[in-house]
Amino acid sequence: MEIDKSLISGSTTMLLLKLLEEKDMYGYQMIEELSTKSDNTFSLKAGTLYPLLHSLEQQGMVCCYESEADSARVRKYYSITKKGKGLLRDKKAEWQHFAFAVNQVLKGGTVHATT
Amino acid sequence: MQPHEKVKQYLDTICEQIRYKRIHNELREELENHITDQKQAYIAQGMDEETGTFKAVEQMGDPVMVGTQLDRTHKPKPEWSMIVLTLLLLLTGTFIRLYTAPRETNGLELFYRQLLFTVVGIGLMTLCYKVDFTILGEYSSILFFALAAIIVLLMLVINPVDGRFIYASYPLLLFPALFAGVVYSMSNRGYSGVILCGIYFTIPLILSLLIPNITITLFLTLSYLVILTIAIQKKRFKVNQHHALLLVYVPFIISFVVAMTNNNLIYRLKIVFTPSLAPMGVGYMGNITRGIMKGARLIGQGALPENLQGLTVEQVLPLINSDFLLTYITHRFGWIAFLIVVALLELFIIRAFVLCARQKSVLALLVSTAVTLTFAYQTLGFVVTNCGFYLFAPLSLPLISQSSHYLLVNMSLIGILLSVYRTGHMVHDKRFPEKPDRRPFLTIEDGRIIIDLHLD
Repeated sequence: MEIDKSLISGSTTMLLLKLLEEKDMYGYQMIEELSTKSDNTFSLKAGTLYPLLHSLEQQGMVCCYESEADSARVRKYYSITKKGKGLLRDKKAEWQHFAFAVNQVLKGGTVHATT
Repeated sequence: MQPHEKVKQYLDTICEQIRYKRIHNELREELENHITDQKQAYIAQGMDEETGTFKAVEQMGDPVMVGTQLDRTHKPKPEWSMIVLTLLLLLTGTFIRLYTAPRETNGLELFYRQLLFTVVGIGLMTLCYKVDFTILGEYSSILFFALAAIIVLLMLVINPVDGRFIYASYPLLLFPALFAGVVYSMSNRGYSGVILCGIYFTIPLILSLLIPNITITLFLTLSYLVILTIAIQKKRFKVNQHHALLLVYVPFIISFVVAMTNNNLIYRLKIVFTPSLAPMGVGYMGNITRGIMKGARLIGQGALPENLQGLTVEQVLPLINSDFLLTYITHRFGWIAFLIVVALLELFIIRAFVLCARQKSVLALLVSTAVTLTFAYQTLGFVVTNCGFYLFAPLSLPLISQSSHYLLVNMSLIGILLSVYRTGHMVHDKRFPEKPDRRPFLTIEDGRIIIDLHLD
């Protein structure tokens, strides 16, 4: 099922950090992993990935290093930092809170109807 | 392998949107790698190379939009706090000298010259700011030897004043920043890299001894130790850190111990702490400045020591506009003036060190630390001598005291520093070829220490 892009954009940072929490990856690998893990629901474009990844690096959430892919190519790997792990925790908590509230409303119930 | 024309065009369009040109190659490489990976995946799915390439490029997204977004991410960011502090220091210095200059011979003439040099200095600062600091890593040796050549030329062309090549001494303060670039360029070169850094260091060291300016010799040694220690700790040389540190510190400790056997130096050091032992000899300046500082009030003009009653401060204190400006203003306006000036400089230095610590690339870290160290050393040396601990003549109080030439040097250094803060967050250290040492540098066998310099 195609998902409305605006739904994904807000959570891309969280998804990327989650991927990097498992292991260090290069850009293309992240897109592939994200696609596989979500049964092709999330197909992130390179044009969205790199600006986001680079700004996360500038903020110190991830760091990068280079490693030889083959004799001709050197790949840039990204790795999550301690600060990045902190951000991931916050983003997860925020997401869970949000998802819970949305679900409550969809079920027809009221979240804070105690007055 | 040349990239496909379609890929090249795509990457060109992206780069056209990104104004910070020094990041282009790095971005190109990463994006090209991505396209290659995607293309190979398509080919594995059964597409032919041409179709795979087209599909892979298409998959990347609109190049203008991608480029614009990357431009937003990779935008130089001026460090306004440091720019404001620089301007504040320049203003404070001018304001103070406006008061002190007329009270010294030639003072007004020097004041106007410094005013002119301030404008030239701002120009130099802007120039160094715009020329990206990464050139210090790229052309490290050329710049290093060019500076050495300029200094030698100044020594040959301009006659010494009182036996010192004063004009050649100012540019010596630029060496640590250039040396940072040299150390960076020795990355991955093993122990021979550490030794080469030591050889490079002897050039400014010898120049400072020839001038001679011991205050600068000490500073060059300090910055050499700090820069190399940081580089070794950041594993730049790919060697055993303890052995490399020994290689750096043992020659220094030996020279220090040898220097300490010099009776004259020991006597001078004793006078630094108790200048009253030689009040009319080498302890004169220390004694006078201490006396004046002791009589200073919190606010307002202080009193002169009893033995100097009846004289004015201008009659007993020389160089009130330059070397002893801080002692003078403390006497005239009280400790409050001292505190304001020193606090402003401290703020500048602490903020600079904080920003240094945030640098991710080793080149940015080394260069910004070297520059900040220059300001810290100048300030500390000046404050200490002005408070009565006088071993060597101070250099200048950065941007405050009268010294047109040091002002130009300091402004150039600030330009380099601001350039690091402006683009340092985007810079990555370049790849250096791995040159591991085949045999260990230091081995202990049968109770013998074997040092292998790998000269074969």
